[in-house]
Amino acid sequence: MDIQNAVTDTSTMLNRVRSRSPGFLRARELPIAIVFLGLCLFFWQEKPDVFLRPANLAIIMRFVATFGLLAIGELLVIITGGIDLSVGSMTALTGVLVATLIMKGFGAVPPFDALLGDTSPIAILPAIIVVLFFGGLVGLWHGLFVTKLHIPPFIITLGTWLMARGAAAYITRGYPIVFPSDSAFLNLGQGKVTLGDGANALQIPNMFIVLVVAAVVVAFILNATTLGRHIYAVGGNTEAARVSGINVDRVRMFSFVASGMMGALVGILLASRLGQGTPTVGTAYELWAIAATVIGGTSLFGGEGTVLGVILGAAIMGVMQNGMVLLNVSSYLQEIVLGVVLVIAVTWDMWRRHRQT
Amino acid sequence: MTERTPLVEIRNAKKRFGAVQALRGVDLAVYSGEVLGLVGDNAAGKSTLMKVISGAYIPDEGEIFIDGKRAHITSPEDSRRLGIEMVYQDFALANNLDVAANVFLGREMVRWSLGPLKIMNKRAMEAGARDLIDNLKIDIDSVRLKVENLSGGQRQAVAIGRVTAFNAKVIIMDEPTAALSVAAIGKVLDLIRELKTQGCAIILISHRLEDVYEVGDRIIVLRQGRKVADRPIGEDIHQFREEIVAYMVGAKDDFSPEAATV
Repeated sequence: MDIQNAVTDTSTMLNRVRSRSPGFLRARELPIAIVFLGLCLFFWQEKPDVFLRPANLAIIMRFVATFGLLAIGELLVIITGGIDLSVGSMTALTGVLVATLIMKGFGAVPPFDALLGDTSPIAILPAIIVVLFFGGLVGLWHGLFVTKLHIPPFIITLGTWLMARGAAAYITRGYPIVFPSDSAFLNLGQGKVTLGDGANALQIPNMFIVLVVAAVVVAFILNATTLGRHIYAVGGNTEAARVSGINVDRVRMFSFVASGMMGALVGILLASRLGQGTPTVGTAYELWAIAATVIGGTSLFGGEGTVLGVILGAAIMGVMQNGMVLLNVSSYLQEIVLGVVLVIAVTWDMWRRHRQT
Repeated sequence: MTERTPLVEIRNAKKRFGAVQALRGVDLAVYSGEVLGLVGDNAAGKSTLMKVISGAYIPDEGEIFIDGKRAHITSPEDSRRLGIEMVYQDFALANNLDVAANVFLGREMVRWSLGPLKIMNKRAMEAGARDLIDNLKIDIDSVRLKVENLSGGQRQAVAIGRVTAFNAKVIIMDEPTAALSVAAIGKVLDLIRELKTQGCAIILISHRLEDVYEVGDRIIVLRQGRKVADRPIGEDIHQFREEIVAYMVGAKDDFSPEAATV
């Protein structure tokens, strides 16, 4: 009884300390940020002449943008207690789609080919909008199966994982659709904003700016709006959310649509970056995105996770991958190291959770 | 019984789940300022009946009247709009959210809307939750504490508190004292008395007959989906307990179909 009291007293005391200390000290992202900064310092000290060079930073930023964007979409689904395995294949399908539309028009996309015959190419912006809309539709498809037919998210998105990859290869007959090198579309993924002058001017890839904008928007939705609160509530206790009058189905639907659109966005950016729509692009990207969300402190059981954490997760992966390349670490070994990091992140998270309850 | 209009009245509620007839035509009425105990063995239909009132289940048959007017309750929102609130057995709180977020869950204060996006007024919600916690004398340090860090008693207090925050007329409590310590039970019963003096009608589902005896004005016993007793609580506790148990196990039945006059 005394021990029980002591334990209760200590935990209330801890809670008091926690609830009164400044926000940044309580932030769950703090340890993740420390790890990230530690890694940066380590690689900077190992390779001082290369690591902070603008061109190298741009490489890291493109990596972080790619997986950060996918991970933000994944985050929204995972907070509600779901998972989206389709996003890697969706980047391939949407990349191929946007390339086909811009180069050949709707007439080259089944099933429109049978209806339309040969068509003229369509302009870049409409093509991008159509493909983003398509990504949202695929997300809606996932959401409908999950909410109305109670198909597990794992299964329905696994179906799309296969279908999207197959469709990408089918549309292109397996060949990449290459943009001419002067296509304005290429500016999107290859362009950058230069800050400052001379050799040390900071180059920020457009992709990274897209990431920052998306991160701000999604973080705002999650933190400041009722929708965001309902997303966390659905993941924390679906029944409580339901009896509180929250439209649980609509919340889950939104998360899948957002994830589908993020997949399409990354597909478009990668097609532009690579200068082609390739059916083989984005293989296993969904798993990298999930890894980034988990390293960033997101609980796969739902209810927890932040945009900042997820981007830090993607940044940790990006810096490690880049740093190991700089240090000439074998690419096989790189995957082992990243796998170890993932296991450590999850184990630490579970340990923290157990200690708390 | 006086000729007052009940706050909530159900007539002839029936509900079937597959082969199980959970409710076989139950009548229930509860009046303002009254605590109605609702007891019965497991699977007697208590929770089903309450979920019908709170809109979680739609009855196969039966009518609900609020203040004497026929009401159509097809969702929890409908019943909330009519002033019916439910405190669920398993607290129905989102443990990953803080106290303020749980108090206002599903009806967040909105500062302004941006199309479908509604921007929350977090500060006002925190202040509102703080007032509520203080008024009900609930011992919680900060409304920004996550519910997962609270004790069982604190969680139940939050669950009841969030219901009272929105001028509920009828509060349904499903086993509010089941998972609590003796001291916490006393506080919950005090809270029920306080709500009663404010004119709420309270339906208290409990297997703890002493709790029903202590705060209840009237008791309804359900058995196998039927009402078998509906009587005021008055006699001494031992006699009360014996009689109610007799109803619960089927030894007594005030509404038996054989006894009914057609």
